Amino acid sequence: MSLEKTHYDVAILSTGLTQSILSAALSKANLSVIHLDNNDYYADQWASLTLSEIDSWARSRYSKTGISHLDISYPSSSSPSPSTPPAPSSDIDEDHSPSSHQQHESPDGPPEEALKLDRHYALSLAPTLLASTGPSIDTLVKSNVASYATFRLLEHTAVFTSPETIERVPSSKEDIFKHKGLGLIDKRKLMRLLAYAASGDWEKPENRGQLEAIPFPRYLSEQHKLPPHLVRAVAYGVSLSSSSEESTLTALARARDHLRSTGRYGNSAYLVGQYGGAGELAQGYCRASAVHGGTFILAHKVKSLQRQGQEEGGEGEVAESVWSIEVQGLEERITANWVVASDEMLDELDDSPQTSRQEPPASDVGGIDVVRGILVLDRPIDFVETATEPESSYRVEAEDEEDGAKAPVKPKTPPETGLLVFPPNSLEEEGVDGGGGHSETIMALMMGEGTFSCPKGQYVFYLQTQIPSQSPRSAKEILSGAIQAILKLAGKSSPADPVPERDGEEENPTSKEEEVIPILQLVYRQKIASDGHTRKDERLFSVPFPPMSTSGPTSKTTPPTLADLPDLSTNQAERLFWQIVGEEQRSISERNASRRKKRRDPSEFQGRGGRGYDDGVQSEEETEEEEGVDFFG
Amino acid sequence: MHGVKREKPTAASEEARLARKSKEAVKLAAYKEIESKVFQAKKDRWYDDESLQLTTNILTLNPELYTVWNFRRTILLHIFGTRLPRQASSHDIEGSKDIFSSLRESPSDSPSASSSSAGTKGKEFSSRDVNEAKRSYLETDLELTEHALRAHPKVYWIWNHRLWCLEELPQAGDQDPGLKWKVEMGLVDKMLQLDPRNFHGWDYRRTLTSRVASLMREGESERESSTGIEFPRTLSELAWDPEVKALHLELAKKELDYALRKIESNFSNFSAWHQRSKLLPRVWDARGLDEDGRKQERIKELELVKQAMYTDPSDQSVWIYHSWLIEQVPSRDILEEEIQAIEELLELEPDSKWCMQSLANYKVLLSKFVGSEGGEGVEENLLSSARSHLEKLKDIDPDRRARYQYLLDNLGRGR
Repeated sequence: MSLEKTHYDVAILSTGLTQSILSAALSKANLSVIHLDNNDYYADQWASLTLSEIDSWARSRYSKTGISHLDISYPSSSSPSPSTPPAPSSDIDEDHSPSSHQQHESPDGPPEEALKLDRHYALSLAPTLLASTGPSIDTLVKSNVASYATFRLLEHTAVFTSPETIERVPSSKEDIFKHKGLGLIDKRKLMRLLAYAASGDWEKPENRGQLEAIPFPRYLSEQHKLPPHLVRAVAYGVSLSSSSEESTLTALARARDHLRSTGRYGNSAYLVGQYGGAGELAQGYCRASAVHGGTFILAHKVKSLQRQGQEEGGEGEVAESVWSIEVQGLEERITANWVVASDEMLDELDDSPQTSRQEPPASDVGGIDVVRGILVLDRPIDFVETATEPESSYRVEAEDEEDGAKAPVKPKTPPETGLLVFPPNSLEEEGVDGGGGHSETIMALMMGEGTFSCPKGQYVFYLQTQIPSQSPRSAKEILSGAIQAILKLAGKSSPADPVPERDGEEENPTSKEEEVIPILQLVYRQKIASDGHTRKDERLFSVPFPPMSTSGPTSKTTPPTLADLPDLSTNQAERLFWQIVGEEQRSISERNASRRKKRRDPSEFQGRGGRGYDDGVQSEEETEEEEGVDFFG
Repeated sequence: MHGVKREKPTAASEEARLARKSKEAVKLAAYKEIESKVFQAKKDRWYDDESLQLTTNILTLNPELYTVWNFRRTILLHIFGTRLPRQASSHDIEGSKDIFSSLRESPSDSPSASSSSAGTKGKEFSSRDVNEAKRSYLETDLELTEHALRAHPKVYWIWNHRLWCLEELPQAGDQDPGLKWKVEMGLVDKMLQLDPRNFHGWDYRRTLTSRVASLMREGESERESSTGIEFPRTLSELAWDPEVKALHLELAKKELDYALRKIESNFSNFSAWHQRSKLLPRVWDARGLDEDGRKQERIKELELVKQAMYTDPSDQSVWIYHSWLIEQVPSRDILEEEIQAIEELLELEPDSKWCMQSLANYKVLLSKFVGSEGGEGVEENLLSSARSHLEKLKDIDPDRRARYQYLLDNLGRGR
């Protein structure tokens, strides 16, 4: 294979979401881009994979840096030995060395039956919720990549309370009004808090210091006098706080974004991307990049990356050096002025001597690992039926009667998407697989067949939490409590066919519940590299995964929540973009934006004998006036 | 932007501006030409297809021109009343030039086929042909108004014209006579989905339900349709056929439910609350509830309103509906209960003007009960508390100072 040209403005290694957004933006700005990926699929660390792909991904990851405590199993197909034995204690002392990764390789691959439907799976390595407002959605819309993808609303959000109950989170005016179990006074307090969060009054400088110092749950109960169940709902169901210590300032900012997002596309703040979400978006951006002339080479290993002096341009002057890339299966070396790579790919290339050796990450956050889990079940958690609404002292009797009469008429449709949040320490230490409790929030995102994540009748649950890197607990230990709880909750609803009438939940639960055995269970810990992108060398950037917030109001770094990932990635891409095209371009673009804002919307004049939107003059004019780049929302 | 030299408009954008101007001028001239033609036709009383086409042209450009909608109806009435019967009697339907054929999806459907059969069978079929031709005219207008409503959902004349078309639309063959209204209901559903607060939509919806209801009745007995009583007033009629009444009650309940769903998704909706206020008393009549039964129903409804009040005390629509409920048949215990609930809300929201206004109002109402049942001191307490609410309102809502002063001046003097 050979290329038409071998020199490019920018070479991008890995098709992760950040790199893909950057690639599309650069191509659109008329820079020449070559985009390389070792894998034969798009999106790299953000990919959506089929069952067989994720199996081989998992197997290859045993030896990768950054991933540890990986454990993959297919319990439903290996019933005789229900689950792999608990973690041997041997790995505790040598946790940090790459060799310490647990090697509980399940001897069997995916079950035959599931493999028949292999292509029906789109299992995401970076499950995300897409906020309905914010940089990510704006860029998707502006770049027109949104039209390549499809989305669903996040239907339900619930908070888990021990034992085995889930409480629906009322997070909008509509929810609060309709909520039958919420007392009048509580309704008022909750609405007032949400209105306050949405108003942004708390952002005033004089409030910030105080708000930063106080943990959010304490703030809610002390200053807003919310009862415990509402503290839980707001802190973990609305603000998605990752721990009980999260600062009020951070949490309020997230609550504000949540509230401003609610209602844009329906009564939910978030969209769920179909076909695995982030991976699909990355692929969309790659397509947008290709449309504007980007060149893509997938499934070819990048062998080396070196600095080299410009051969032609020399002539006595100081030769400007370029990056030279050797790719397996390519005759010529590729040269580029800039290189943007993933941290993982750079690590693999670190053998090449010319690359400046990576020092220990300067801003190593003192080590936090993201703990991830993927669970495939043959039934959902029934958010509608299973969710109880918290008891309240001010219960409304008359309303209940009315509702009781209406309830049976409601047609039952199984939920497709739902977010179940396990607040810190909500899981009892049960001793299953060596302890179920966890002192940080665990998020579980459920996606059904309607999201095209799995075959009909199956449901994927993505679990995510965090733990200090020095903790010896295995991913399986950390998540086992949540996994058990999900299995039990799912046991309350039956597989595939509609749920038969159920009379009350007071009955002995074991008589009705079936034991649910996962089709796939994958858990691992993933080291968080550092914050922001790292400039490794002159014109060489490494993009860490997952992206971290650099401008957070707190100094304490917390890993991104499911809902933060897309925005952080978009910001990451935008920062890289301006560094490459130059800050002067940025001011041009901002000037254009403000000019556009001032220009009045033609639809204002429509229908009153004025200009219509269809006279075609406006758009010509715009393209003529505006130079520079216009990609990010 | 300060301190930056203003750039001269480039030649290109200057050109674009000129291009736009000339383009606009062309459009304007075209519009003016059609306009003058239409008004000339109206003046000369040309009620033919050509004039009809002219009105189509201008209404597509400007659907807010009510004179032209009226003219259009005159033309249509003229065509229906004189030309179509004449053509039918001479079996000349095929000859009629159908200028709308290009606007319809299937330009050559039944008219030509049925007219050929009319030719062989004679007079008996010609009235059917008239109906067919009429249908095709009116269907074109339904399409035209639907398009116009998409862009202008709040223009009276379009709704008005559409309703007229539906009233005129003859039923096709042995179709269910209510079909057109039911189909129309689907359109209103869609409109209210796009904008649940469009009162045109709600009003139109009420008209449609009363049409649907009157068809239920005509099926049973023709006589009563002449009484002119329309749904939902029919529910209050005691001497009504119980079967029809049951059907109407069901319809009313469906409508109540519909309004409730709209309220649940956003209770800041005067129209939806209004819809409930229109239906509830009629439903209570139809169910034959006595005063106590009604009171229980009102208490239930107040409970719903209270949820909204506490969720957003600054929403006016809720308070207006609340006072409607209270003032239906004021009763002492309901007043006391509601006053207490609002007092509690006022404690949480000490500056809520709606709380204070309602409290002042309800306390005056209550004072009358207390007064008539002996309890002088209590009455005075209530009035003075109402007075202090009004005084405070003067401060927090200075725009309506004079109104509060007026209320103060008339306090206790009977309303």
